Amino acid sequence: MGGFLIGASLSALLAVVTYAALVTFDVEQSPQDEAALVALEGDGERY
Amino acid sequence: MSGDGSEVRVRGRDFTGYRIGGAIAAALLFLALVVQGWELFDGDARTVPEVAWSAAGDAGGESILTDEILRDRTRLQSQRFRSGPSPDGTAETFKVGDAILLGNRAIDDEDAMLTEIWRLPDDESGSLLRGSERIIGISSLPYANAALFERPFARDWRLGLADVVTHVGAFAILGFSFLLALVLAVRGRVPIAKGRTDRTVKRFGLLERANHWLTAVSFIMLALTGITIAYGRTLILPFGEELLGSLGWLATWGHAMFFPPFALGLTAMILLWTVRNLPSRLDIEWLRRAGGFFSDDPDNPPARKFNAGQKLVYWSAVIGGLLMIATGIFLMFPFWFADLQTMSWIMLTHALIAVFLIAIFIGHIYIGTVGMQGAFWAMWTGDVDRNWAEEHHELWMHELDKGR
Ligand code: HEM
Repeated sequence: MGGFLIGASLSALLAVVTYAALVTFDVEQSPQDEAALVALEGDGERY
Repeated sequence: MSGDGSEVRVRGRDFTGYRIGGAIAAALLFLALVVQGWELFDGDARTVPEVAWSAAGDAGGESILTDEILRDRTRLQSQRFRSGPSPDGTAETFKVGDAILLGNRAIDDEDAMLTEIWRLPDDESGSLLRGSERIIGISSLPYANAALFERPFARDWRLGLADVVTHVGAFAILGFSFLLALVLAVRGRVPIAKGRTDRTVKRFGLLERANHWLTAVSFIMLALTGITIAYGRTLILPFGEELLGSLGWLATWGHAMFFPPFALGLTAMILLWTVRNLPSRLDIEWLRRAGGFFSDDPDNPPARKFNAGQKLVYWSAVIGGLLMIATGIFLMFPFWFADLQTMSWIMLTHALIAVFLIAIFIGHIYIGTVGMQGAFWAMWTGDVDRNWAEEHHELWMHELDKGR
């Protein structure tokens, strides 16, 4: 059980650290993202 | 060891409770398979593109067809064209529900109405906007791609991802789970045939166990969040848009958050277990006899620490996991390394490997818990029953005994 607790806590801890990192270094939506959205959403799924 | 079964003290079929549980699970999974089969023929198995645009309407949640919005907006614009933005605020305001979409104040900066990328696409985004072969008409509507008539690649991709992979994946996951439940119902658990002793041997140290659970917990979180992302519309939407919204948001964050712990666990797993999982000649015999899985005879094909079945699990985790990480990194940085077409294939690959990995690890979790008596303790306390070790990992047991 000790192994499980260590592994599960480490997983949760790293997940939270990742969250913090993503929020801290969040870049504004990049031009690429925006262009991608246009390219995907506006791709006119018409036949 | 004799093959006459005279030493068999515990039989798989004696685990009545487990077998009833297996039968119930099999019945439920069978139902799920029928529903999934029905889905294939109910007309929406192939995604039909949405042709009409709509916008959220009043608080009641009704939506207004874009036709109507466009008509109103055009009327307002033509009026403005004639009179100009009214300084005294008498011009109409265009509202949908509470949201003011067009106000009556003068527009200071016309360019603010367009995102920069629409206004001045640079080379990079320009090429993205022409990501694949397109059939384009003529339109004066003020939207990017309004004139786009057809994008053949998008259609193939949607067929591949939304239609084929999603359905194949659902069948793989449900079908395999159904087979496992059926095996449990009919065959029962794989027993410690000679019965439990009160002596144990150490199988996995704390580091190995902690790392197994680090990888396992992260994998399960990635699987659950991934399933929410891929199947949310089918599985969660029936319980309400609000719920799908909240869970979808959690899943999107969670999926990125559990990638680093998974990658760390997988890397450590490679360092800890690769040598023990290299193929050997024993594996052929083991596979030929399907590991003795279906008989209660304690004389199973000989194996060292990991048998051929476990090696297959190990290599699926390693190869599948590395491919998931590689494709996942591409998906985390859209268009940094790949164009639209490549991105689409990467997403399809990510989804396809994912559904098979999930099915394989459902099988692994089955054997590690209900499927085989005594297996679970190897990863929980680290100690296994001597008879378990002798029956399933004879040669490893001998190695240990010689080492003493
Ligand atoms: C609740 C979930 C899980 C349980 C109960 C479980 C249980 C176990 C057990 C008991 C063993 C040791 C088998 C032995 O003694 O030889 C094991 C090994 C292993 N587990 Fe898990 N496991 C789970 C989830 C996972 C997941 C999600 C992964 C993949 C990332 C994984 C990867 C492995 C690998 C690679 C091994 C070594 C090879 C093998 O024994 O098949 N496990 N697991």
